[in-house]
Amino acid sequence: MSAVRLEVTRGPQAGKVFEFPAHDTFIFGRSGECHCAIPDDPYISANHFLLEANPPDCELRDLGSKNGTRVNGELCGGRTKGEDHRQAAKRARPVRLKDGDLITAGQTEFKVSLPRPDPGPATKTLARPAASAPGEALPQVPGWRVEKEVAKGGMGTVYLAFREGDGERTALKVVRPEAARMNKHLIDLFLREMKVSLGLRHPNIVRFLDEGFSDGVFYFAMEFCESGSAAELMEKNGGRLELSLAGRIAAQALEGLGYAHSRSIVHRDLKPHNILLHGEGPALQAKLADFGIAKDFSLAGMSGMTASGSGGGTLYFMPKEQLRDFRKTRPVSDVFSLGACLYNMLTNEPVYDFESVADPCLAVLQDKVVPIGRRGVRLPEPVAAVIDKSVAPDMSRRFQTAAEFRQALQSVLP
Amino acid sequence: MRLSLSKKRRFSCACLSDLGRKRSGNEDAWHADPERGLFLVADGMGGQSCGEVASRAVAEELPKALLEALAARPEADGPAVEQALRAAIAACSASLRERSRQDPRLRGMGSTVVLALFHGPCATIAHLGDSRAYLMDKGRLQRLTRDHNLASLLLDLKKITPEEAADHPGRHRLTRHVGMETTAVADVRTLRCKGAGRLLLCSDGLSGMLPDQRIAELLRENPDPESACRGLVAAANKAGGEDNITVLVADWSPAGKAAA
Repeated sequence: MSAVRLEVTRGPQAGKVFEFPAHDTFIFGRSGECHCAIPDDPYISANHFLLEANPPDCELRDLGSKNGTRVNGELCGGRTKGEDHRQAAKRARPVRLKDGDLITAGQTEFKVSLPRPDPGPATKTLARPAASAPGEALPQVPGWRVEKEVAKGGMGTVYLAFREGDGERTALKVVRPEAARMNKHLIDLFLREMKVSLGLRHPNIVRFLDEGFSDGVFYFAMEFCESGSAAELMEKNGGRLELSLAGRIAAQALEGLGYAHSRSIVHRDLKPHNILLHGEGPALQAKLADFGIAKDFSLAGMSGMTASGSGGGTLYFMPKEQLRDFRKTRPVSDVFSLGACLYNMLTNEPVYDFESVADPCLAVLQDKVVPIGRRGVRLPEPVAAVIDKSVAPDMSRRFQTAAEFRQALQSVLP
Repeated sequence: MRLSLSKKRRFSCACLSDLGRKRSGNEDAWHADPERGLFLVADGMGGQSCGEVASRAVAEELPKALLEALAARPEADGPAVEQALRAAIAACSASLRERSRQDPRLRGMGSTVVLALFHGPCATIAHLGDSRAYLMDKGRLQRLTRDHNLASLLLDLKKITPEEAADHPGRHRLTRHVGMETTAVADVRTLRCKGAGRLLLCSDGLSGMLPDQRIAELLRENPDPESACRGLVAAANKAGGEDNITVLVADWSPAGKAAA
């Protein structure tokens, strides 16, 4: 068994089983919106407790319920006199569950079954960086020969490296978390989250070849894309790309995006810098990079930037719903971001009118999207209509899937 | 300009910048020039050592640029000072952004800033980000700045309630800061400061740890700026010390009298 399992052993829904093979959340309560709802039990609150399963681990947190939640008979959370549910929820501490634990809320009892932890491969080690040139330091990664630094970004440094043995070229990304916030649980959580993204296999997604953690840094060996990123290509071309080229890049990126969405993975940080390119001319292939790293890194609480009050990256490609609440980011949010990338590749302008507001976030929150036709670039009307639809502020007016967007785009491209 | 304030007011000020209890480095910076009545606090961001570079650049370069701009306009009045402040902060932001673009090691760096400049009978306050300015007037604490973060913005737009704003994840996401991608538009206001009074500038390591009411109590309990700074920092650390804490307390009184 590799999933966290929750079996209702007592109460109106006795016999029902909930399984969580991957990272997931589960809310129990009286409200119809809960994953397991018991509307008729007066001892249960509307939203009673939250369970976060991340096999092989599982945590429970009371959501400020009136009568509290019991684990093996011991009360965890619940309101005290004069407290409302928000205050009680804020005070409640998460409880790490063990295999066989019994959870009781109102008349309902659950039994928790946890999978055995996967011992995983032997820990890989990353030697401390060795000085290679004055003022420079290259990391030494077992199995890889690091040649030179090729880029540095907010999330870490990328090196060109070759696999020992077959000489396969890689872009080796080294990410250093905020040291003071590190602990074993966070490292495990991050690497486990990353495994889902690492498993993506598609011609339009940058492939991961290896990963590990040691001496305070994470490293990820990724397929090397020798033609750089769409952002670099824009720069080489003086800012804008021709419709035929930008359209081809976007359509290919949408292929990769659709595949990731079919595996329930949302990118959340699509931008021309994250669309990498392989080959040239007719053989040019677009590949989406950095699936999961930025999101999982900050969610796991290891981003010093997040903690210290970050500017939070670019707003150029971000839909409103993601800015308002990043937890609400859905596949349709990635559709917006990719539409914004195409818009940017064609116009060298952001989709939003940032100049009209003092606070750039206001442009996003107040739907100040500029129709692409007003950016002074001559585009066939149907193409402009497809792009405008992809970046509609109201998500219900957008293409709902990457496939829908790609089909519409391909049908209007010259 | 050789600010007329030095002739009209005496300042007694103190500043304390503390690591807090959770951070390994201090990314806050400050500047105090009681001669000219210019005070500033900056809180850097950007991970690794970038935040420190950013806040230090703001604390060193902004006062210099501002005083140079005003030196050319000795008769500058309130609106002119406000304009000079806006322009100096926007230029400082563009320069920081350019530096961050040029040097990949500094990519993503930025800083908050809160600045007070006394002139004539007035003080002009400018800020970007979530570092704050407070005025203590006749024992009453008044917050002079509105945090530039996503939670405040959503609250202004009535998209969330004040209760939700209190622990909304957007309170850590700055909507304006020095070094931002688009033109930095600082909020600037000018107030009349007659007689004696007390100004507090601080990073969110203080305001994120203590409610305004507690800050007011500590300012009232500690009559001299140095003990006020010590009291505020100690209380913020006692409340958790989640971030670097910088507090600058400036007391003023009419020239010829000792500062309050």
